[in-house]
Amino acid sequence: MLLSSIFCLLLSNALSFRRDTAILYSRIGIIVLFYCIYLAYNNLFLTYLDNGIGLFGGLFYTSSITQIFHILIFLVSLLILNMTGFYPRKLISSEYMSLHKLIFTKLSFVKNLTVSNIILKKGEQYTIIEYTLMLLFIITGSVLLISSSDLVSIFLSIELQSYGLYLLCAMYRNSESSTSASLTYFLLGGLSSCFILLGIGLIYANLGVTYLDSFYVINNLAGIINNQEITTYIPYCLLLISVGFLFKISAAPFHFWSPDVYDGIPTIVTTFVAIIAKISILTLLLQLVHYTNSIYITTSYSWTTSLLVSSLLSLIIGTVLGLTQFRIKRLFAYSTISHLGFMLLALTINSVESIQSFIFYLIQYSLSNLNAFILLVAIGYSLYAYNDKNINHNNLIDKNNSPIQLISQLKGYFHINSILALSLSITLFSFAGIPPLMGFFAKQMVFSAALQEGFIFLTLVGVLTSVISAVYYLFIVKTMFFDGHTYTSFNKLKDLKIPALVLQKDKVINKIYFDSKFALSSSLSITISILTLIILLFMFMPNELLHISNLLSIILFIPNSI
Amino acid sequence: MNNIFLLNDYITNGYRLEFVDFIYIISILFGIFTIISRNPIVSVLFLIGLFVNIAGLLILVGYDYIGLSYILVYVGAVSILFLFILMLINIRISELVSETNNDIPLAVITVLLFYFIIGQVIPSNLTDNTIVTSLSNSFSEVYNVQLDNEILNIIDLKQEIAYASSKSWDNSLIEFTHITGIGNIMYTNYSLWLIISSVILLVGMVGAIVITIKQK
Amino acid sequence: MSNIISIIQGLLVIVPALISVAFVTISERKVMASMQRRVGPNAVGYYGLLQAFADALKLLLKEYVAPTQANIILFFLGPVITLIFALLGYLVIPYAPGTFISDHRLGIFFMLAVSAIATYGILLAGWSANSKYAFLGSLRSTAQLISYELILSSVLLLVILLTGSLNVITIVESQKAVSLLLPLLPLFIVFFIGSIAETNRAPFDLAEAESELVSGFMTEHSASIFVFFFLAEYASIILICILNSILFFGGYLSIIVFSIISLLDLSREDTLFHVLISIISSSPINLAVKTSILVFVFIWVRASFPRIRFDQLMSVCWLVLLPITIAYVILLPCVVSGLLINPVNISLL
Repeated sequence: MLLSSIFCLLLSNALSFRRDTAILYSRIGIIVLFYCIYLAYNNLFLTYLDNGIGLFGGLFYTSSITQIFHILIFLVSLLILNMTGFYPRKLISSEYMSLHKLIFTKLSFVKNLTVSNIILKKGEQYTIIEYTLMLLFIITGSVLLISSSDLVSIFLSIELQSYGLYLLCAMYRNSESSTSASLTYFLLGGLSSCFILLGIGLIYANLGVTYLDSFYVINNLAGIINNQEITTYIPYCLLLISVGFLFKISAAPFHFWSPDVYDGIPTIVTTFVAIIAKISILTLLLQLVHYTNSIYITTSYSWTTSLLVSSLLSLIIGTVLGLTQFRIKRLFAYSTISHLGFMLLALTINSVESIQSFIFYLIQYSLSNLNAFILLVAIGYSLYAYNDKNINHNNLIDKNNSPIQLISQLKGYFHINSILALSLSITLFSFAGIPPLMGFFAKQMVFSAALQEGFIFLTLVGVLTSVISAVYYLFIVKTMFFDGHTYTSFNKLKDLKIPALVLQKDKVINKIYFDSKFALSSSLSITISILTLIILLFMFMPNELLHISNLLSIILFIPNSI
Repeated sequence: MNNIFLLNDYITNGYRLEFVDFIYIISILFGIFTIISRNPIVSVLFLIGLFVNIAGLLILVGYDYIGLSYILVYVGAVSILFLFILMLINIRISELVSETNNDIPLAVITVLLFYFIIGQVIPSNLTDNTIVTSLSNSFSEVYNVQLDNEILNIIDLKQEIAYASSKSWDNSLIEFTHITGIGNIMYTNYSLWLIISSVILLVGMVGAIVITIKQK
Repeated sequence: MSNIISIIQGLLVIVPALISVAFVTISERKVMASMQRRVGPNAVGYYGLLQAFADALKLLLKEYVAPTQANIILFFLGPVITLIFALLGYLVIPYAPGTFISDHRLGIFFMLAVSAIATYGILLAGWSANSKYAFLGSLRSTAQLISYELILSSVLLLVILLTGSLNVITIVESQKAVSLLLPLLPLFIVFFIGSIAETNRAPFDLAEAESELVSGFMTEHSASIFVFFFLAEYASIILICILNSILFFGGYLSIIVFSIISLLDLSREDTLFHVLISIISSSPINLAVKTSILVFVFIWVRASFPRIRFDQLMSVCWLVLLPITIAYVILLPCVVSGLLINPVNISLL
């Protein structure tokens, strides 16, 4: 149902290949995603969804959790497509801002290179028309991954997703760094796929099942019977699979690729790579952990303890290594790793409250991470009119695709565009877990869940690391607000007058000149403002999100309790 | 169960188990040589030898179709392209010589750890085929004793069955090949997997085109 | 005992194959000569019939020379691989009803796999000789083989689809009513072109273009290892002609004789004539005649067409032949299922 619509639009997208219309494809993609959200939302109201429905002979299943996360993925990728769907800058003329005039007059620019330069018509992200297509493939993969209930379909959909991601990274092929990052990503991703496949193969060789349902049944029975053979090899198989998964989400012992890759690829792509894969794989892990967690039944080794180890390592590595970073995307990568530590902690505890906190954390983190990356992109766009006097900044590799690479580039940004700076600092505070913001509540829920189950040491580590990580978040804020900036605006742009004709019924009635005031386009600014407001004002209306996560976790636990 | 499985193999295909062990040894050797060889082309050649070996193993065990398609796909298509590209690149062997002796202890430890975990997980009927157990069996002949204990007069029976079934009448009467089996399953129960894998191939194709196409 | 029998069986196939290789070379030289108004070999034996054996003897008695920088193992392994895998293809060929070495149920598939491995021989021989000419020749040859193998296997796919079996004998027997040439005539042409290219014959013999590459991948090979290449090349020509006649002309079945039977309505089974007819209708002679005609066409093509350029060769493969074949791969199943035809031997699978 949901898949078929994607497929149809996908193929129609694939058929016509014209270079200059890439922006339209992004818009089509947005429409597709709206439609998908509608479908997924509609399906939420099916009666029997609570217990999960198997689709396609049990190869896939759907439940309210999967539907919610489908919607989340669609939403996030919709916002990401927004970045390529519209030109990032616009011209402002106070004369023609009134609604009446906006609707009834038509502007036509005299053909001019500067205009297209200013609104960045020729940016590379608008010449790659397969971008949207690849994005849709990846989304298909991750949607399938979330709702797969068979080991083979897990593998197939994870491959679909990650092949798309490798290609997406390599798509900006004029930039050397992005290609090399994509190669790194591909090689390590291939390795992790090998681990997943080995684990799946061993499970099949031992148990003869690939259906997750029957696997869960066998696993739980094994826990009760305490047959030595079964209880030893199931955790090891799952350990192998989870090693693969942890590779893909770049959790701590397997995190080496993520800073390099994030740093190498264009920021727009980074946004996508950083968020989507994590949502889908973590949701899948949620299932696996929930149904195979026998930590309370047997005293022997359980594979989830290794998840705890990974969580501990992620917390420490993400914060400590993040301290020394001066490239902003690497820093974000490390912060992602430390946040993954929190999520894995909440995941592994596996009580009602911790699952609730996990779901909430995942949702809030992907939203605020998205906001952070969009802000980076927007800052890059807004700096167009300024000349950087710092020579170091001028010869960065791959400056076209990701303009902001160093933290020092943000120096004194508050004095250039205070609103964007404020939004970024709010997001960063939310990452750090400063009380009134959304991140604080998420962290607090994780800690309370962990304390309730007696994970005191991990909680302590979590608190400490979040304090340490606050250092580097605050460092960015400091550079933005308290350092003087080295930017000067271009003289040429200052005096520039851009001629434009005002048409009414195809007649030229007026000729106006835009001066060089231009701003971020409304799509970007609206996205940023909404996301920032969500983060900021979450404390006034926390009910919706909390209720969603609460209900979902309760639903997950009901079949067990009855 | 395990013994019956082996016996079945032994009788129907007419191959001796020792051949399987032999193939195991050769493929392990090829695998090691693939890693050790300095010259990338020689290393790829060992890899191809490994593929052929494994295909032979599959055919010996009875998976004709899968074995042949293994040769056709991996040997005939994938690795020949690999070899082709490697030859075209013209890597100088002297550049590749680097000191890797320091990593050997690390590699040994990693492999041991890995096999410590995997060894517990590998299903038992596979491990019985390995050369180690086979060697130990040949020394102590525990194996035959076991067989004797479990099924009476197994050796006579074995000869008899082998003689009777060497013409494999059963096979020619009720022949249910792997192609039909795979086809029946793939297009009915697991058709969705087929679709997904075709989508993956589509992604690969689109991606290859996107990356390599000449942009104007 | 059974081992000895199987060795004898193998020899029974391999020795005639190799002898026929010798005669094919003779016939090639004679035919080319008469097409070019020359006499051709006529000194050794009657009409020069023993010329090939004399040549082989000369080559075998020569001293072999290997380049000093060559990778000696691969240098010798290459020709051996080529010859072995060219001869392995003869394993699954049925020469007459009940006359075959192996009635493998995946016979066609086996041939494909074997010919896939045979490519390595050329690649290795060319690379290991450490000579630019040999290397370029082997690269060209490999690229050509890979590309044209694609065409051959997609045509095979359609044949398999119509006959419903991968077994070579079943494919032959299912052409009793009508040979596959009629429904698949365009594909036969494509397949024939593909097989000329697959065997590196003129006009597609870019791999050993004398004017450019001395002698291609076998430049450095001399004496007995050169014989290996020589034998392998002609053995694969005969093999692929046999394959052509099996796939499209009904192999050992004689279509003409069958039509005579149906015309005369020979339902009585006692006459000697009928026995004779039934022997002729499916005898190895049919296969031999068909194959010889096809080999003659191979030689004819060599004598008639000039060599084409390498880029033309590749673009003919990828831009002309492959689209046609793929179009057929799509069209034919549609026709078959549209007309509700079941493949003949689907139950025999």
